[in-house]
Amino acid sequence: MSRRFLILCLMLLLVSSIALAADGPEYGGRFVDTEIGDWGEMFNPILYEAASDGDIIGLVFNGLVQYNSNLEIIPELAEKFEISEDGLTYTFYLHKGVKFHDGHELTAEDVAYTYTTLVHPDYTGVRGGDFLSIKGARDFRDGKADSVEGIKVIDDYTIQIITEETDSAFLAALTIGILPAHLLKNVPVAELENNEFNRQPIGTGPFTFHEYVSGQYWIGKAFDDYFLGRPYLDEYMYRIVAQSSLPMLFEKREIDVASLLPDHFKKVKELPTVKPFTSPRFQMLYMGVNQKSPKFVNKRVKQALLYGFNREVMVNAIFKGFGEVAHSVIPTVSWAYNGNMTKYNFNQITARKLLEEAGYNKLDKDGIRMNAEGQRLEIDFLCYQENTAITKVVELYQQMMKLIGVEVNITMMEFNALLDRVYNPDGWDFYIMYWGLTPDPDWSFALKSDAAWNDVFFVNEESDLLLDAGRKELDQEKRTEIYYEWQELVMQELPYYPLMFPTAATCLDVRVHGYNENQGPLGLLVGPEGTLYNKLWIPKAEQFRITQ
Amino acid sequence: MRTYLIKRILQGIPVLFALSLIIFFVINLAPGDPLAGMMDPHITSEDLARRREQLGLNESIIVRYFNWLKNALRGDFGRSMKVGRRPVAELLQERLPNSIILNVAAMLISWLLAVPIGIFSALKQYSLADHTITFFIFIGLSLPSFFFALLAIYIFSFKIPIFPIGGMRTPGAPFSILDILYHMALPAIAMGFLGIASMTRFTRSSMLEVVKQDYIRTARSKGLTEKVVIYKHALRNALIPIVTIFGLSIPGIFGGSIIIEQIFTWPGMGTLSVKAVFSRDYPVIMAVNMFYALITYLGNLIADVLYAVVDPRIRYD
Repeated sequence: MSRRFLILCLMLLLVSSIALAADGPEYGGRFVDTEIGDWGEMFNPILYEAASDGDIIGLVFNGLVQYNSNLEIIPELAEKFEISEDGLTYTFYLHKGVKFHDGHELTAEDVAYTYTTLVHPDYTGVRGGDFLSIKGARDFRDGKADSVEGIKVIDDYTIQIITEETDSAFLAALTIGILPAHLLKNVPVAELENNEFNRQPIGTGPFTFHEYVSGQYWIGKAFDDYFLGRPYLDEYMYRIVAQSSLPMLFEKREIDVASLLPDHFKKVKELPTVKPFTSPRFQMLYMGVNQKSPKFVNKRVKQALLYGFNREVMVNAIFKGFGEVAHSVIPTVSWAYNGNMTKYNFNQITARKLLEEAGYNKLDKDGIRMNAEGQRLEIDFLCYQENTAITKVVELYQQMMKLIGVEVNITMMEFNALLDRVYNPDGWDFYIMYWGLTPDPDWSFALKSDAAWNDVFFVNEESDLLLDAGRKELDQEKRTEIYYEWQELVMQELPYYPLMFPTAATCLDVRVHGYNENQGPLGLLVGPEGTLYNKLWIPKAEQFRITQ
Repeated sequence: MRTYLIKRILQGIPVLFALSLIIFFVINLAPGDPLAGMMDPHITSEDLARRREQLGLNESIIVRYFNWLKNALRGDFGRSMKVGRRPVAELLQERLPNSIILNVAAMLISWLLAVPIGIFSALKQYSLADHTITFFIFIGLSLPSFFFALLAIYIFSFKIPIFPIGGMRTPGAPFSILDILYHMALPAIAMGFLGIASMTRFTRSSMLEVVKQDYIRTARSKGLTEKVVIYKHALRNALIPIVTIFGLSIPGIFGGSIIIEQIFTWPGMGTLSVKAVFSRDYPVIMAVNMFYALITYLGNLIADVLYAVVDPRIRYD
């Protein structure tokens, strides 16, 4: 073979590969997504509880609005929306010609039905809370009114929602999927949870609910009349997999995408058929600090016990670097994150100094600090046993506290038992847990004095005022200022020790195109224009693959 | 025999009652409830309180027990609080067959292999073959099942791709028994092999005991051929205790192996019950436990009856 011929061959190969790459999206194929665990089998946007159900609901339903990858709320079923000057009236102009999977057209009636049901006296779900800020919603729920005053259908394609007071978190609630009123309005609301619809739902989303096999898989078929254009894919599949099998499944190319444990990720990302991605998520590993504990009356003790913990070591040794030390309760990826406030970077000298200032300046024979009354500085730490990484964090904390003369007693319990235990303030100082957060920086659900999830007994008037102000303010710049101030306050008072914002490690098969490479915290399938479910595509040549 | 059976069945009724009471109180007094784990920034305490009221979780535990009992006696085990509010009976109907086919297949594999190996090992006691078998049995007994299952997947689904990595059906393919058998092969073999170890040991020791008996010596001294002595006289007697094991393993057929199910993503009773326990899905936990209690009781009864059938020395009069 002459050299010239070889060069020619190479050039041909190059040209043909360029031609292949230049081809636009191609229709067809099945995208295989993964789920670990199981579904809750309630595929109804207003009734579901399990996050895995939410994944499927996201493909089958659309909300009026949605989040984009920059965490802005953008229109979805609504073509556009307006918020009145006083911030109370929201007007949504719906896309015309949006079809449900059964061919029925979506109108403002469907939206009104969905929101009204959420605040209905007989509603059996737990997602109604956000909708009670609609004017007249509470009266309706209490049976004092026949309809919700603040939900007004103007015409088939226009709906107005009026809220009782300005609420910056309200718009985010409207990401909830819209139900087909024509199929459900005659079902008594109390009976809705038992309706077959929940296992064979009909929405407006890019994929129809095609086949569900309990504990095995779900298949969605492309919806030809999807209002934003038929998906390129023919099928979107969710498959239940065992975490232990993920590396093998990737290598055999049976799945297209999965989140992986650090060890698996390091192995899988070396495969030539896979693209690795890491990105922060709206999640926080934290320690709850019992504000009623007599040991923490002096704020210095709280601060010292955070200064003395090397969280860098924790992230690197236990989480293999898949995380970021948290310096606030608001994630770094949020627009409200304040990067310039007090940080508790690991410093044993500061920790010891603070403890001495707090009166713990004597050491007993074991090297544990005592105060003038001879009380040893002993801390009771509650930990749940289901997660081994968490257990290791607590053990690491125990060792590091020993170095500054603090004894930590760990109590291991089942997760449910821990949830139960923390609402009684006696006999514990710390617990450890994760919070799954939302893109909105509001923390009223857990850190307001009267909040449902305030299990650290944090009572602080200034903080309450700031949280209320943040919730009522609609202007993002003003909200940013409020949350800056609030974060600083929280990091002084320390109701929580923020430990880490975990990093999600995801692998995607190289055959998949159309995803968001610069993914935000919402993942690969959300782009600047919203979800990308109908934009994903797989080249014809790679659509064939035996999936078992 | 008939009176004995009736007596035993009647005895079972108070046992099951007592069990239901104990199980109900234990699971309801354990910390947490079906809503406790739902920590979500969008869920308010008011919502949760409403939901608890709707699910009847605010009633006193005694009232709840009698409500449950009243419905259960009518055959209504209620709806799951965590799995799509589906009727518990429907959930069991869906998962139970999956567990049964897998367990029966695994049991067949282990029994068909273990009994002959055990007999062989006993007859050749202290031979090289016996030592080899004993050696492998000890390995089998000490291997954790998850390790064995993962190893099986790694070798037979990954390195030599004969079987699928997990699941029970080829997604999207029409329902077919062959497809299910194909998916079932590896988990059944893995489970079956794990069972071989203990079954072999049991058969071996039972056989060893029998061949030392006087009547075997008598049979031999009568001049019977070794074949007749072993298969007609010894084997039949050696199988008696094995029949007991059969009766006792009946509940196992209906139960789920949590680890095998999870690793092979086999949707059986094991994953259902574990999920129910962790999420405090009271109606499911109760139904599953009562079902197992009933099956275990019946299994014991069957074992006793079979005992009388195979061993003429035992009579229930």
